[in-house]
Amino acid sequence: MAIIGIDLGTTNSLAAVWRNGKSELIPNAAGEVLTPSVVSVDGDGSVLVGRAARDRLISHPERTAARFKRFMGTDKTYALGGRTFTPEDLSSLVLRSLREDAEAYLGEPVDEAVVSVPAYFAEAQRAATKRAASLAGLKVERLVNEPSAAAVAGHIGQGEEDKVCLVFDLGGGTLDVSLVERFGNVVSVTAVSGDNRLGGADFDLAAARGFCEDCGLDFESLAPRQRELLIRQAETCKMALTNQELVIMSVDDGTISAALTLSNEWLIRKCGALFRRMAAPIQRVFLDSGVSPQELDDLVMVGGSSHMPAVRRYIARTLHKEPAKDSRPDTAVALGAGICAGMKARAGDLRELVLTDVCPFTLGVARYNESERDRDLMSPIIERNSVLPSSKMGVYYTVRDGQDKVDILIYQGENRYCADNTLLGKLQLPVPPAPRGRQSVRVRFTYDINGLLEVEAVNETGRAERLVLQNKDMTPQEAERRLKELARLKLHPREQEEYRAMTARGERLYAVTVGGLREQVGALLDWYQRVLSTQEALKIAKATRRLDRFFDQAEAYLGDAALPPPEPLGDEEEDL
Amino acid sequence: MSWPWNELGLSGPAGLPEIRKAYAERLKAAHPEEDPEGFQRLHAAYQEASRYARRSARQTAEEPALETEAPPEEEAAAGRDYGGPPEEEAKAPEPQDPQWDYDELLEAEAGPAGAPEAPPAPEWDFERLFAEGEEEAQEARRRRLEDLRHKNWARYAPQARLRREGEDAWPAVLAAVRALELLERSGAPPSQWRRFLDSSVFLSVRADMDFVFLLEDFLEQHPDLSPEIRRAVFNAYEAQNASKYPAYKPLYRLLGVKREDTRRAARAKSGWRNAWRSYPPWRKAAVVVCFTILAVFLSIGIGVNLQTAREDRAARREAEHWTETAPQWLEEDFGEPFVHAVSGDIFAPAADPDLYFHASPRGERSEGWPGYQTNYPHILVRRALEDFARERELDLDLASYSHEIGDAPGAYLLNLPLLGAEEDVAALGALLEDLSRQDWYQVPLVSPQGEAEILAREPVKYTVFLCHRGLAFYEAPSQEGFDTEEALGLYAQAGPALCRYILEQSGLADEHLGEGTYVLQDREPVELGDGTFFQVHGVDKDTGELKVQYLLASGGGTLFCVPREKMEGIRSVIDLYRGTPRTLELNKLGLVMVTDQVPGE
Repeated sequence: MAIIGIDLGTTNSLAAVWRNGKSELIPNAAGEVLTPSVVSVDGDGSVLVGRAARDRLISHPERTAARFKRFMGTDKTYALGGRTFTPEDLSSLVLRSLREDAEAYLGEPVDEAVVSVPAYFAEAQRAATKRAASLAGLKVERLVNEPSAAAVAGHIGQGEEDKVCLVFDLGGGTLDVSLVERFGNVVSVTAVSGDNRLGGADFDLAAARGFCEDCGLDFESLAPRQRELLIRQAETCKMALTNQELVIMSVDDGTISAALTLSNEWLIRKCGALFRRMAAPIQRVFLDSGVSPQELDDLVMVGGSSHMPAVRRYIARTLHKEPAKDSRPDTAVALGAGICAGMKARAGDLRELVLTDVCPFTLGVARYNESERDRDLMSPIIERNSVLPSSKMGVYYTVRDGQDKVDILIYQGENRYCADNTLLGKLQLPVPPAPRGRQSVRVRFTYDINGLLEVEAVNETGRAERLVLQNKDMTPQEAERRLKELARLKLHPREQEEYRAMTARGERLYAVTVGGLREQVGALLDWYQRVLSTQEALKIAKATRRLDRFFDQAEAYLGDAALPPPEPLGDEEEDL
Repeated sequence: MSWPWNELGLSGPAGLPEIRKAYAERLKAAHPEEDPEGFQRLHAAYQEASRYARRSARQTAEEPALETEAPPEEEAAAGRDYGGPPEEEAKAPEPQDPQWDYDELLEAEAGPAGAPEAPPAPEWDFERLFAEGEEEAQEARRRRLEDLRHKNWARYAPQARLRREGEDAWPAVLAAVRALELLERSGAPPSQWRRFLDSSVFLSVRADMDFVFLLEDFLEQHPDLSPEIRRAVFNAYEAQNASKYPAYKPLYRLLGVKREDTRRAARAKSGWRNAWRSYPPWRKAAVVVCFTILAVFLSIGIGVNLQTAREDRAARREAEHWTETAPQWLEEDFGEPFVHAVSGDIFAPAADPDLYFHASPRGERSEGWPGYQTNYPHILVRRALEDFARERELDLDLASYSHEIGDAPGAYLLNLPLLGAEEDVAALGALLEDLSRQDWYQVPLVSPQGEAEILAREPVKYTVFLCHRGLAFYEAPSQEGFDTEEALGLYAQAGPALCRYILEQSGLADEHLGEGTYVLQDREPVELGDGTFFQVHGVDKDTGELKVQYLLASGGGTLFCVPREKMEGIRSVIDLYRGTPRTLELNKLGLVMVTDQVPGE
């Protein structure tokens, strides 16, 4: 039973498998490795996928759908030939076709796959991808991020050198930028960023618009069919400009007729805004990772739109680095997905390889906003670009006297106000009524490499509530099993012996002392608890040492009043 | 050495290549899927080590202290809601490291110092091309908007006159349209859209038909705007009053917000009679049914009230009779005047009108029976004990109330410390004997159980309990009345007995000495520092050799176990804390004096 890797792209999809010590691309029925991500409904109700469907985009645009990856996770529906489809349905048709191609090529049934998604895909979009796969009869436990897959492909392909690379993945609909450090048997993604609404399709649209501008046509007032025709033409010309200096774009469908000579410079002029947008994710990725651009060894450009010479030039100039020569922009992601499929199948020669990825979005909970009561603020628990698997905890307090329950709303996003972020789920936990601020609730997020988020909230009496955020397809039994696996992840320095002992010592000292010294000890104990809750081992170790010294001095002083009183730790507040 | 290098297996700070090699090596044993906890720890160490290496490579000769603040990306994980002022952006703040000049990086032709490769001469001058493209786009846009404006001129017919004066509103309209495009292009969240819709940029052109037409055009071009944004625009145009603004109808249609809202709003404005008429039949039926149910409940409620009112009246008549006779009887029995306080069965002595107590009629008044039940004597006893406790600053607890007849506690518990309470014990005994000789003590009382019974004039009995954590485990009831000597004797025995009891119950002695090999012997209390400690020795059963010394603080609190070898070094309380291998934390330790009843029964 083979596991295959699938690159489900906006424009094209591919499948690959790890065999004979390398990743192989799987050809489709037409003998090609690239299968266009287009679905069309034929006159007799049957469904066409791939090259044949693509051609029908012009002839039967009302029965054909393309570029639906952009709408995964939304409610958009396509009405094709009298039936309605969701983007998931369409993706599942493409996946099914790939699966059949794989089964034919490998000569054995295929029912599991590793599918690649843009690193910047949100929870809803990832869940939709998994559902699409299960609709196609493929079990998908793991989604791999596209730039990570490309990095892995590069690492294996180029013989495992130590490199810091920037993977720039400009596909048909999305831009993903990842900073990857690879050395030895490790491929470690350090930071990701991107733009979900920037891709080759935007260039096509801008070019078509530009064409209309220069030819005196009004793009908006054209019929949909004509617009589609123009966009297709623009796409063809754009691709031609990869190898030619000039190309002529002409349109003549009876009602409108125009022609224009295009060059790369013309393209840059018309798409200026799009180029500018490419810089922001690159900046963010360097900022978040702490790596400086001077440390960059490799620039890897993948994705169909990375072919464009203008884009290559622009990025190369921005980073002062030429793109790596053998990037294989069209197939790198699929090859990487194939490698990941091999890793999932625990293939012998891949056993040493470790790929670590990061969480692309900040995950947190809604926090009460004192100054604007009806607009909750976002309180992050797992910050973006934290390595996965990740388990972090936040402590929250009640806001009203006598509050008897706490609503925990789980959000994903970077914005300050929760209303601008995405709500993933909610949880409610009862708390014992008390004056405001006296009851605390500990919320722990555990996010594993398969994208499963488990939230656990515990109040001071020990009562706990748990929520596992998952795509709707999983059965309760499967969810239980996953929970058990997750239970191993919870790591908490507070439970470690040394810190517990230190706390106990402090409490004893508190009992024995009076007056000013006692207050000091009490304040120090509070401070120590706060330091422990930051879970930063370095800080905790330092705090423990200082506390130890203070306690020694205090006890000596108690035994012999002739000694000087212990020095207060003046800057403990600043340490936080 | 120290973290993070020990986690990676390095002996100290190292360069990036070494750190990476060490991390890759360690990763073999801490695979993220097999050992998630170990992996998290390892990765955190790797990140910190890398940051440190980068920082020290960047800085000059001086050794950066580990005390510098960790990079803010790490701090952000902790929860920090204390109900204080709202925090700034939850994103990571600026890093401490020197800021790379991105403008320079992105715009400059020459590379910064240390750039590994000289960039090849760019084939295209991006800046110039961008600028040209921008200009062309602006020009085309302007042209297009003007075209649109002309095209829409026909729709202005009625407002054409007003248009004359709005000639210079066009730039403002353009600016607002530009803002719309910017918001859409940058994928701004709904809160920013709302801010725009509240701003003067929008409000100044809101009613301008030019802007409305361009807004319609904008909506047509961007059919996949999120529903929240559409609703915000919808609200900005007060779309509820659709009937008032017919000119906005196409706009509402484009916004695609459900018309049902407008209908509902229209209903709210035009009165409930119209609303009723517009209700579908099933809804009308539902309303009628609801009203009927309400009416039924109301009538039941009223009926019940009438019934209880009748019963109340009867009871009140009886009570009035009682309130006249009770003070008389009470005066006869207790020898002082009483008044009826508050209501019902509550009375108070005339001399002390705040001292409330219950008295309710029961049985016939005769030789041996007062004809009522009351808790007045209990109140008096309690008062006396409370005063006693207050004078001597002791802890008095009233346990197990019976609620049938009001405040009649089942027991009076006094918490006394283990040592040094002799005087208090003696004084308490005297008080209790005194109370039992009072006249009013004779009056047949209701015992705390709520049973009517006669307490004969008897000397007050008591029971001494040893309590540990609220549990009574050792009791010594008195045989005759209160005997101070006896009580004090019990106290002296209690301290070591308690210590022994605790040791046996907790199994500490077994742990230290081995089961069955030892015997516990009481010893005299010992003074240490300014505290007194009860002493129990654990000696070997066969040899009689002293093995462990147990000390119990007389104020309760802590039981210390001092092994033989440490005994010399103990000179102060701190030595005890430091030198003992195991201690027990105790609380609520003390002796209890009880009259009448056993607690917990």
